[in-house]
Amino acid sequence: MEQPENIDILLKEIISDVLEMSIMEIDNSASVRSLCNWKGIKHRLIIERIEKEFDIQFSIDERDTLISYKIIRATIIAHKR
Amino acid sequence: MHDKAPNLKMKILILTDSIANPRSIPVNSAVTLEQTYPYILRNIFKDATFWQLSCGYMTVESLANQAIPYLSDWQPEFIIIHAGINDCRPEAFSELQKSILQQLTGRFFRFVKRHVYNPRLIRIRNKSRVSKKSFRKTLNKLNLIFDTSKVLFIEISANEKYEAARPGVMKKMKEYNDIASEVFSDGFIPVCNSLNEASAFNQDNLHINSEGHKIIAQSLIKSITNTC
Repeated sequence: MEQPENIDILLKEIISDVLEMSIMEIDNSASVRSLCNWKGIKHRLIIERIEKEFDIQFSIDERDTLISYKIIRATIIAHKR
Repeated sequence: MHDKAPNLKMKILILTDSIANPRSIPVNSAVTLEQTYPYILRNIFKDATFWQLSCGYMTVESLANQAIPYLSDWQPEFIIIHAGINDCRPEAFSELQKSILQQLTGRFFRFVKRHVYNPRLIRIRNKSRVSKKSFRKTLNKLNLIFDTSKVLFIEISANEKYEAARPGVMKKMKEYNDIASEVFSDGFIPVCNSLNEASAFNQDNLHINSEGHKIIAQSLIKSITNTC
């Protein structure tokens, strides 16, 4: 199982890369509400990159829940356990 | 019991399938809204704020998928989960297969339906809507997302007679309860024995009568007041 610290690093890299932001701007409270450019196609791209990089598959219903850094992180950890 | 519970300001999230809802049938074990345990809890913890989602046929996963995006910022002190029978009980067909059968047979589905729920077929096919792995994943996820909340998971329960309609259900219930008790440890609330001893299941051997609601309310009040 991947360590939570490694998940944090990779997850922040993915989000900052897709949103074209500095990784320093992505903190644990980041969400679709706090980051104005986290929406639409970029949100889909984030989800797709996460599935690819972490080698997991979210269910369709689960995808709708992934609206914040904390939720995404928890979902990845739960998938990996 | 009512006089002893303190008035505590707290937030309580209740996630259940149909089991926490009032029922008008069967008439001899009907349950009014006021007799349901969520309503009893509201009367006991008058200063608490409640949010309840109780929806028939829902799995823990589908309940969690509603609660996570809408309520993760709310940070309730307690999350009561009373569901899981829809996740674990044996089925003859998966949801997708049932849906295809329904589409193919149209209005004649009612003739096919008795085969879909045929106990012999259920025993042979023995499918669960949610795998044990996925069930565990959902519980772990809830624990991680609601990390400041105390989760109270009420034991998945049914009368032993339910085995006739769903062969293998007792074994499945035990397996899924073991997972819940492992994930939530001291938040797991056993109720099945008390419900059986009090004849608190109704004729379908699955839903509970007013006595069952009282028993569950008492267990929850005890757990909440002991935690506070």
